[in-house]
Amino acid sequence: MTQLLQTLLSGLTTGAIYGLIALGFTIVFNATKVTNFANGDFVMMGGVVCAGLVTLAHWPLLLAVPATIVGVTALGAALDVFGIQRARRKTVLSLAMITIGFSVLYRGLMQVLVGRDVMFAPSFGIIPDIRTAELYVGSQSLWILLALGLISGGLSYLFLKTRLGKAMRAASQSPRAAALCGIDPRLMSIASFAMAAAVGAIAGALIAPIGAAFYDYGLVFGLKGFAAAVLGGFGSPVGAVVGGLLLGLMESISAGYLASAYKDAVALAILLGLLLVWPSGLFGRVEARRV
Amino acid sequence: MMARSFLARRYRSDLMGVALLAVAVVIGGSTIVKSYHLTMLIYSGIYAIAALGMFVLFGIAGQISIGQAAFFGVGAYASALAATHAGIPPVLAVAGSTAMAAAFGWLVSRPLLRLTTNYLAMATLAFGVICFILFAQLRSLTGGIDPGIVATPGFSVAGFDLSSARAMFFVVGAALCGTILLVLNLVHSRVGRALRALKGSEVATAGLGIDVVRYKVAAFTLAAGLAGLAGALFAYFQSAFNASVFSVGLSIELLLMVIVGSVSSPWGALFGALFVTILPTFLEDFEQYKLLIYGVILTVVMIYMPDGFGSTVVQLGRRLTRRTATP
Repeated sequence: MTQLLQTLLSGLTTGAIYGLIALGFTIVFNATKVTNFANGDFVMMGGVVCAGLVTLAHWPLLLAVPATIVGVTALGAALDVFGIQRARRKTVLSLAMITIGFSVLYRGLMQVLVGRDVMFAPSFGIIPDIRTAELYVGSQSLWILLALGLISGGLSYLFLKTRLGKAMRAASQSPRAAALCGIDPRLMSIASFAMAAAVGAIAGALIAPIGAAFYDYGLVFGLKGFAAAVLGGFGSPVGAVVGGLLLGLMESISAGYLASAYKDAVALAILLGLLLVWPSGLFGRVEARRV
Repeated sequence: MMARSFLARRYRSDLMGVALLAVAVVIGGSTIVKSYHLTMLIYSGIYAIAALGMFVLFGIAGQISIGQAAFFGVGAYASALAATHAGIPPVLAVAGSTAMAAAFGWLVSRPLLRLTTNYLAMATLAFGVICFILFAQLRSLTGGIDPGIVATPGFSVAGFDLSSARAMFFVVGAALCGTILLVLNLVHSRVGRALRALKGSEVATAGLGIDVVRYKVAAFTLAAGLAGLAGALFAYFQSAFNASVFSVGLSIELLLMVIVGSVSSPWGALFGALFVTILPTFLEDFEQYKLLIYGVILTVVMIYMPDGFGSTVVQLGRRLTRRTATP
């Protein structure tokens, strides 16, 4: 029983990270209808830049994390400004190809800037570990769950209550009508990529102490985050969080029965199965009807 | 005699191109001295075969796949295992593994091609990663990452040993000529025109009475088969390799070859394969900057030249010469 509970808890922790990545996909898709293949690389860069600043440049963590978030956010905004907005042909496929190009570019950039070593960042500390007779919850796991709560709460406040959020939703529904109301759709597009990058950078900095940071990890992060988003219903923010947590749970339960080498394959098989059999996901259809 | 139509003339000039390529292979094979140059050209030829498959799928039919490395891997492992364990003659092994990769492609294309554009891209990407994990983990079959496949016997036809680099150059050259002939005939046929229509609009194509699903599946199967053929030749030439070859990186490189070349002409795939294969030799310390350079090429070409780098350059050249010819 305790064993199962412990497995579920670790599943929730990784699931929270998948949820954050899925939120990144959702923010960009809702604002621009672009599927951002570089989304996983935001997370990778969050981990690699943070770990690099701490271990190679010897910055204190308190400084390294904000610097990482700012840097990755700028790189994310660059994807929109120099990539998506300059595209000569704006079909779904060619925009997706541009994000694939940026994904490779980000990986190359990190390889050149930080190196090709697997790095480990120190955990955040401050919050104590929870240790009872049966259970152990690491401090970093608590940070991650806290971050998921704060970010998803903050985002729903932003999209439902603030002018910026309302403008972004308006621009996504009808760019032209929004432009007539004085909203610049291009600015909203930049904002969405920057926000997805910021969320990804936070997720990356949070997971780096538990997993590791490596320039090639973005692909798997991206695929799993996408799987989480599809599971929850692509485009639904609530679905992204729920899908992420569910995917994390499924993965950690299956890890008990399968060799750990196949762990990644499980999440990807779930993604393939979902796309083929249940593409609307948990909250997909509800969201579609609302719009 | 009736004046030949534009399409017929184009077909003839394409056939001339194949003849020129065959002559170039013969001349190159008998005059190139440095084995390093031969090796580079052999790899270019092998990748060009897979890139031609990618061209049919992505360039003509407009269906994306970021999982071609899986079929390349199936071809490579099938031929290596057939040669080492079953002792099947190389020509049969190559043909068999091509058929096997095509059959595998056919099998996965039925469900996968229900998806379109970015969902298809993500699904093929996931499929490619799953296959890579299987290649790396099924160690009893593939040898995984370490040691991988060691010592595939050399290529031979009817007892003649063709394992030297020079002989392999001719083998790969012949396979490449055959492949491009096949692809050219496809482009200039009813099937090719149907696939191109499909890229424009699936609904309109279906409205013309064309079985969209069947044609898409055919394109995917052909692309998988050609990737398998390339993989099989790769296995015979490389002799020793491990699973790391068949990672997503290879799928992206194949996509890069088509994009660097052209999405509208099969010759672009040849140019792209040559470009991507020999690019590393011009830069010292290439491994370090490889992904950065590939990323820059992919993004710049996709943003500014969505028809492909090669074809944009050719179009530009044509426009310039036309302007100077008629001032």
